Amino acid sequence: MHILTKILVVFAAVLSLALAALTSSYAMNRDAITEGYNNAVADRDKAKANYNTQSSQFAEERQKLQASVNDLQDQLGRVQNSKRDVESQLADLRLQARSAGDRADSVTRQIADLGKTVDTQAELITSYRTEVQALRQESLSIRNENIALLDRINDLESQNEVLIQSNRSLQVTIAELQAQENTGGAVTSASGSTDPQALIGDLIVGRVREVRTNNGQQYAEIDLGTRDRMRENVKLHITRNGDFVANLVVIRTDLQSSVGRVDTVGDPSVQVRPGDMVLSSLTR
Amino acid sequence: MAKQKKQQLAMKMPGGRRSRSGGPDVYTGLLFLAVLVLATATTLMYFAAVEVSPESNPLALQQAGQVKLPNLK
Repeated sequence: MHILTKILVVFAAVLSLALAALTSSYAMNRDAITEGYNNAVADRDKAKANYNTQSSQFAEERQKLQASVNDLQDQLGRVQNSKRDVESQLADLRLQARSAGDRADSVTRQIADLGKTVDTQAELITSYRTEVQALRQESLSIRNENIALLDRINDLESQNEVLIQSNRSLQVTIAELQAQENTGGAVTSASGSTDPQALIGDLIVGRVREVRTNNGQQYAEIDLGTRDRMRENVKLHITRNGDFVANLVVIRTDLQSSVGRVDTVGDPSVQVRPGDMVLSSLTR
Repeated sequence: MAKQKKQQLAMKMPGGRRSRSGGPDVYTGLLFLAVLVLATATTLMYFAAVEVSPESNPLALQQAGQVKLPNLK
């Protein structure tokens, strides 16, 4: 073997040993680095998964918190609006309270004035009471006098009525005597004949008050009575607007009114109405 | 004649020549090439080991859980 070959063999052996050492070291370091890298990658993945999970949870919580924030903002807005309304109501109530206080002051002043007025009026009422009592005494005395005077007037009126009746009966008697004197005794007296008689003397004018119908016979009430020389079986004439309507034969008399039977002179269509004029004679 | 041909063939076969001491042969060349390849590989491995080593020493080992790469470019 050549010496050069031997030297090369030695170099090759040395280089092989160095390469083996370097390769072993490199392999071990590489394994450590690879393991560390894999651990780091796993940690990173784990951290990323945790990050994603926490991010999703955070997003959900953030969404919930955002919703709650929105709700709270809405509530805050409503509360602010209600606060504003309450403040405005408070201002109105303050104004009302102030005006009410002013009114209360004015009412108090009015009450004080009214108290003074009441005192004055009480004094006036006291004086009026005494005056009214005096006037009442006077009124009572006057009323008693008035009652006495009325009694006397009634007595005098009754006496007057009696006198008037006597006067009228005398006038009737005079009229009958005058008729007998004028006719020479041809006219029959009221007591001696059933035919209706015409009144002699001054014209008597009256009005029909009421008309009634009984079995087809009309009866009229007039405002002429015994004081107007009315008596039974006296014949009167009923006119309307100056036209003859019917005759009326008195069948019942009173002091101020009479009732008579209507004689339509054969015309059943004739109707006597209240307000028609009653005359004792158509020629006068 | 046949003996002469036989000697010529024996001369042409490897190792058929007469051994001559003191001169480089084909194995020397092959070893030279192997030494060159080993040197190249050792050099490359040296730089690679230095890069993954925690120190400048390429034979230093990384501790578990504490990987340090100060020489990594």
